[in-house]
Amino acid sequence: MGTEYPNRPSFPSRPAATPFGVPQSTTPFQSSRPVVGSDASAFRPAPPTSSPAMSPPSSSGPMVGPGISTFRPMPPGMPNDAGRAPPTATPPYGPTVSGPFPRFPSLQFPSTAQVPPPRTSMPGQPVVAAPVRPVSGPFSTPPGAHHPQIQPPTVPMGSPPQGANTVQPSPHVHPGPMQSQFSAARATTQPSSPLAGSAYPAARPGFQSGFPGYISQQPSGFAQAPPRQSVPFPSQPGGYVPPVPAASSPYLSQQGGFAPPPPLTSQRPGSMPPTSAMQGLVEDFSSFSIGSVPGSFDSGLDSKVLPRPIDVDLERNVLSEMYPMNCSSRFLRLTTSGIPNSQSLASRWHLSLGAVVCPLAEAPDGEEVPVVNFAPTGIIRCRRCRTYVNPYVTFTDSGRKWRCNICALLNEVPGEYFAHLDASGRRVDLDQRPELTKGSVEFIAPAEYMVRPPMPPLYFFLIDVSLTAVRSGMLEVLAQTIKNSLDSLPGFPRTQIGFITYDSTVHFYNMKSSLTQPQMMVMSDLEDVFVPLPDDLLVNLSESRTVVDAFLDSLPSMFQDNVNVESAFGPALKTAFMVMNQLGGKLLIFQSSLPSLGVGRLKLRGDDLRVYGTDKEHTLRVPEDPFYKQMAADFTKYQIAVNVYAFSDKYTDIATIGTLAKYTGGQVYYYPSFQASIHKDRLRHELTRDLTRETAWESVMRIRCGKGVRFTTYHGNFMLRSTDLIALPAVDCDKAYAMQLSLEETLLTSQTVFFQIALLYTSSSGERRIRVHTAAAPVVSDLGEMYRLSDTGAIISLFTRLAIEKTLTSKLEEARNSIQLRIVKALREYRNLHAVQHRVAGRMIYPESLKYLPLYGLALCKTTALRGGYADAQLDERCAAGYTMMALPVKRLLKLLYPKLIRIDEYLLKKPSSPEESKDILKGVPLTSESLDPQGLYLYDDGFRFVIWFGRMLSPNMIQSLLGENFAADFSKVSLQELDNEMSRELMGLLKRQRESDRSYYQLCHLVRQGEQPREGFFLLANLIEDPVGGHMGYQDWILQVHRQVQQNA
Amino acid sequence: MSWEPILWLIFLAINIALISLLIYQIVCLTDLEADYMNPYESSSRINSVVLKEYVLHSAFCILFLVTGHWFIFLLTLLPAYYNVRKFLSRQHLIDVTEVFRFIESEKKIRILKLGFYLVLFVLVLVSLVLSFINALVDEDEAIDFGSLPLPSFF
Repeated sequence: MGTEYPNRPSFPSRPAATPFGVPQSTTPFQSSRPVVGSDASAFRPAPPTSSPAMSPPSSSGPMVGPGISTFRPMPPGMPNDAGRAPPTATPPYGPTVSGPFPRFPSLQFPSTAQVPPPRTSMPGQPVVAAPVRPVSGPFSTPPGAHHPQIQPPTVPMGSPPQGANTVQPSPHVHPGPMQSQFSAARATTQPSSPLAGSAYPAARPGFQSGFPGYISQQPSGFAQAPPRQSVPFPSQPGGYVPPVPAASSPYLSQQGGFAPPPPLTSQRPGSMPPTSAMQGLVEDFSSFSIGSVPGSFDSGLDSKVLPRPIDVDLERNVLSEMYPMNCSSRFLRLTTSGIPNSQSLASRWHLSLGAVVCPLAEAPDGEEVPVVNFAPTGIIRCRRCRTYVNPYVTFTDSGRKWRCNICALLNEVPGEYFAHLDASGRRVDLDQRPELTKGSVEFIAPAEYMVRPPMPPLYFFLIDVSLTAVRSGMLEVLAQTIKNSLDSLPGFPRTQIGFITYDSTVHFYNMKSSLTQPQMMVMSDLEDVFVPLPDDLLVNLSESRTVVDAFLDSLPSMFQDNVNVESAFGPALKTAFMVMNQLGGKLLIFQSSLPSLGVGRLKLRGDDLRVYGTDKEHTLRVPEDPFYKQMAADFTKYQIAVNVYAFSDKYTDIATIGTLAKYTGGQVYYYPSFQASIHKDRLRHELTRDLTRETAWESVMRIRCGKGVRFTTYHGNFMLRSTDLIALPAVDCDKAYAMQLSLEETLLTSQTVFFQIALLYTSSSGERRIRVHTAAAPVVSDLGEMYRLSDTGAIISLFTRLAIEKTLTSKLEEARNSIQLRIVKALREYRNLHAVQHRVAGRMIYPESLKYLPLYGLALCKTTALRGGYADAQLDERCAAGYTMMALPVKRLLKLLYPKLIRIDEYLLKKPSSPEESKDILKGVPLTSESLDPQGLYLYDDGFRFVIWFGRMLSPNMIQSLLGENFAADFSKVSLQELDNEMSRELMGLLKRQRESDRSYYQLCHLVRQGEQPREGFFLLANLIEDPVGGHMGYQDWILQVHRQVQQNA
Repeated sequence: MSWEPILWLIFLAINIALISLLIYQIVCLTDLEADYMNPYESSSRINSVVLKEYVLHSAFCILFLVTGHWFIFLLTLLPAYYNVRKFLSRQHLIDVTEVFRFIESEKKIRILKLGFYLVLFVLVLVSLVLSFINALVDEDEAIDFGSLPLPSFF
C-alpha cells in the first residue's frame, strides 16, 4: 500500500512551483562574443621573431585596450580610447625593454583612436614621464602597465628608459627595431604569462603599493611617476577632470610606484606608508564611476530607493572587455573576476571564490562554437599540464615552440601545425585558427579519447503503470508525447530505445524489428531479478519503429483497468540497469507512487511537524535508503543518466528518489497532483524538450587553472570521478555546475589566472568531441578591486548550491542564517574599506556590482527549497526544488529568485504596435503587494509558472473577453484558452513570447483573483518576496537588519 | 602463569591485524586522492574491511575486559565508542557518491586510529616481553613490577 498515506491527504493543487524543464531542441553551442580579430591577436604578447612590419593589432596595443577598459572604474570622465592606449603601452614596455622606442610604436598601432592622443602629449613633454603618465593618470590603467613589467625589471635596464621616452615620440616611426627588442624582452622576461601581464595591468593601478610583494619587484622596473605626470592628465582626459583634484595626490604617490625605475628607493618609502589612505582614495574614485553607490537609509527607510533587478540584465561582461578572447559569460562566470593575490586577501573576501560553469549553454544564432579538427596532428596540448591549445598560449622561437599559459612549459609545435610568425609575433595563419582566437572551441577527438566506440543516443523509459498513473492521465499524455517526439530524437539512425513498465511486477517488451506487435513479458519474482531476452529489449528505433509505435499506441489502453497500487520500483530499476549497462544512455523514470515492493522500498516517513526545528530536521531531506545512492553510483559508472519525473499527489520521498538524478547528472521534474487535464501541456512540453534537446553523452568535465589556485569543491548534479574530474553521463544546455576555488600558495606571483574548462563527450551524431572554454582573469592585490569585479549572479548561484547542501546536514534556519552571515560579512568588509575616508554613518554602502546581493539573498531564503518550516512547503516540493536549483544556470536561477511581475491590462488595451512601445508598457514592478493595483491585471513569471492576477476592480469586460463563459467560475478550474477576440489573442501572444524567451521549462498558467484565499496567498502573495510573509522579513526590514549587523563591530 | 605470554601474543596479533587494516584503508584513500584508483574500487575496498576492523576491535576490547586488563580496556573503549556511534548512525561505510567531500576527514580519523594502535602496539609489546621474562624466570626471582615504570595492571 505504498500509495496510501493516511496522514497526508493530498497536496493542494500546486502547480509545482518548481522546476520542470521545457523541452526544446536547441543547439547548445556557441562561440564567445565577437571579438575583433585584431584585438585578440593583440593580446598575444609573444612576438619572438621580430619582423619589421608591425601590424597594428600587434602585441602591445590591443592588450592595452581591453585591459584598460575593464579596469577603468570611472566611466564618465574617461576618454576611452585615448586615455587607455597611451598609458598602457608605454609604461609596461618601456620599463621592460631597454629601448623605449619599440614600445611606442607598437602601442599606437593597435587602436587607432588611442594612438593619437598619446603622441600629442608626448611631444609636449619631453620627459619620459609624460607619455607614461597619461596612462597612469587615468587611474587604473597605469598600474596595469607596470605589472607586466614586473618580471622584466632586471632586463630592462629600466631607469634610463625614461629618458628614452622623451625621444620616443618619434619612435613610433621606427617601430620595426623596437618591436623586435620589445618582443624579445617580453619573451625572456615574462615566461609564465606574458599576455596576462599586458592585459592585466590596468586592473591593479593604485593598489600595488599595498602589496609588498609587488612593490618590491615593480619599483625597480617602473619606478615612480613623479608629479609631473599630473600634467599629462589634463591633456588627455578632459573627462576626468572632476576626480583629478582629489586623485592627483594619491595617484602620484602610487604611480610613483610604477613609474620610472630610478626612484625606487625614494618612492617606496613614500608610497608604502600611505598605502591604506591611498587605497581609500582610489576606491573612492572608483565609487564615483562604477563604484559603490551609497544610498542613505535612515531609520525611515524609503523603499523606493532600494535597488531592484527589474528589467535589467545582470550579465556582467567586465571580463570580456578586459580579455576579449575569453569564453562568453554564458559558459563561465566567476564570483569575482579579480583573483586575490594572497591568502590573506582571499580570507577577507566572504562571498566565496568560485565559478559557475554551464559548458553547453545555448548560444544565440551566429555565435556557435567553432569546430576544429586536428586530424593529422592530434590535438595540441601541453605536455605537462594537458592544457589544450588556446588563444592565450604564446608562440616563440619563430613559431617552433609554444608556451603553455597555464603551466608555462615550453612545448614543441608539431610539424603539421607549424606556421611562421609575423613581425608582431602572431602566427600568420591566425585567421584560420579559431582555437587561437576564440575562447570557446570544439575539437574533434581522435581515437585516443575513446575507451569504446562512441555510444548511440539511447533513451530508456521506466514507466509506472499503477492505478494512480493511469487515473491521473499521465500514462496517456506520456505515450502520446513520446510518440510525437520519436521523429526528433537526436542521433537518427543510431538512436536506441526501450521500455519497461512496472506496478507490483515488472513488464518487459520485446520490440524486435521482425515483430509487428511488441511482446510483453512479466517478471513477478522481485527478489531475484533477471532480464529475459536481453538483446531485444533495447532496440534501434529506426529499425523497430513500427513496433515502438504500436507499443505506444496501445500502452494507455493496456493498463486502462489496472487497479494495482503497488510499486516495485527498486527491482524495475535494477532490471533497467541490467538492460542499459552495456551502452549507457538516458533513463527516464515516470514515478507516481512510493516504491513499496522489493529492494529499495521506502517507508512513509512523511513530513513530521515535530521534527522541524530539531537536530533531526535534516534527516527528512537526506536519502533514506542507501540502495538509491548505490544505484546512482552504478548508473554513473556505466554512463547512464537518470531523469526522474514524479507525479504523485502523495508523499513519494523525492529526497531519496531524487538522488538517482543528482548523482547521474540528471534532473528531477516534479508535478504534484498531476492531472492530465491541467498539467498535460507542461508535461508534454518539458518531456519533449528533455527528449529532443541537444545532449552530450558519456562525458567528463575537468577544469584546469593556473598555478597557485585550485578548485576544491564542486556543487551540482553529477558525481566526481576523481578529485577534479566530473562524470556526466549526459549533459545538456540546461545544466550548470558550481565550484569553489582556493589559493594554494600564500602569494600569487602571476598577474593573470587562466581557467580552462574541457568537456569530453560524445555528440548525438556519434562523434567524440572536446569542448574547451578558456578564460583569463586578473590577479588583484586589493579588496576593492575584487568587489568591483564581482558578479552577483555567480555569487548567488554558488550560495544557492551551498545553502541547499547545507539543508542536508542542518536545519533550514541555519542554512538561511549562513547566507545572511556571508552577506553581512561581505558588506562589513566593504564598509571598512570606506568608513575611514567618509562619514557614512547611517548610510548603507555597497559596491555597485553587488547592489542586488542583499535582495537576492533574501529571495534565496524565501525560495521553496529554503523557506520557513513545516507549513511553508511540502517536503517533496522542497526537495524537488532543491534538486532543480542545484542544476539551474545563473540566469534562470536569478529569474526564479526575483521573478518578473508585470502589469498587462494597459498592454492589452493599447495593443502597442512596435516592440519598443510594448516593452515600455510592459515594465516590471517591484514584487510587493503594494504594487498590485486592484484595477489592474498582472502577470507573474518566475520561469516555471505564470500567475495571472485579476484585480478586484478590473473591468468586467476585460475579464469576460479573456475568459469568456468562465469569467465568474472558480478560477482553480479554469484554464486560459485563446478566444475569438483581440484581447485574448494579445494575451496568449504575450504568454507565448514569454515562454519562448526561455524554453527549458514550460510555464503553466494559473489564474488568481484578488482576495481569493487561499489560492491568492499560495500562488502569488507568498512569492512577493519584498513583503513580510510567513515569518520572513520584508525587503525593507531585511536591509535594515543587514545594515545593523554590518555596523556591529564595524 | 604460562598462559599470560600466549595471551599477549594474541593481543599482539590482533593489534597487528588492526594496524594493517588501517594502513590498507589509508592507502586506498591516498590512492583515491592521487587518482591511482577510482572511487568505486576504493570505496568498495575500504567498505569490505570496515566491518572486519570493527569486529576485530570489539574482540580486542572484550578480551582485555575478560582478562582483567582494565587500563588498556579503558583505552580501547575510546575507538570502540566511535565505532559504535558510526555504525549506529549508518555512517561507517564510505559513500561512493560523496567520497571526495569527506576524504579529508575520513583520512584524518583513520590516521588518528592508526596512531592509537601504534601506541597500543608498544604497550602490548612491552607487556609481552615482561610476561615472557616472568614466565621464564623462577617465581622467586620474578621482576617486581612495582619498581618498573610500567604500572602493574599490565
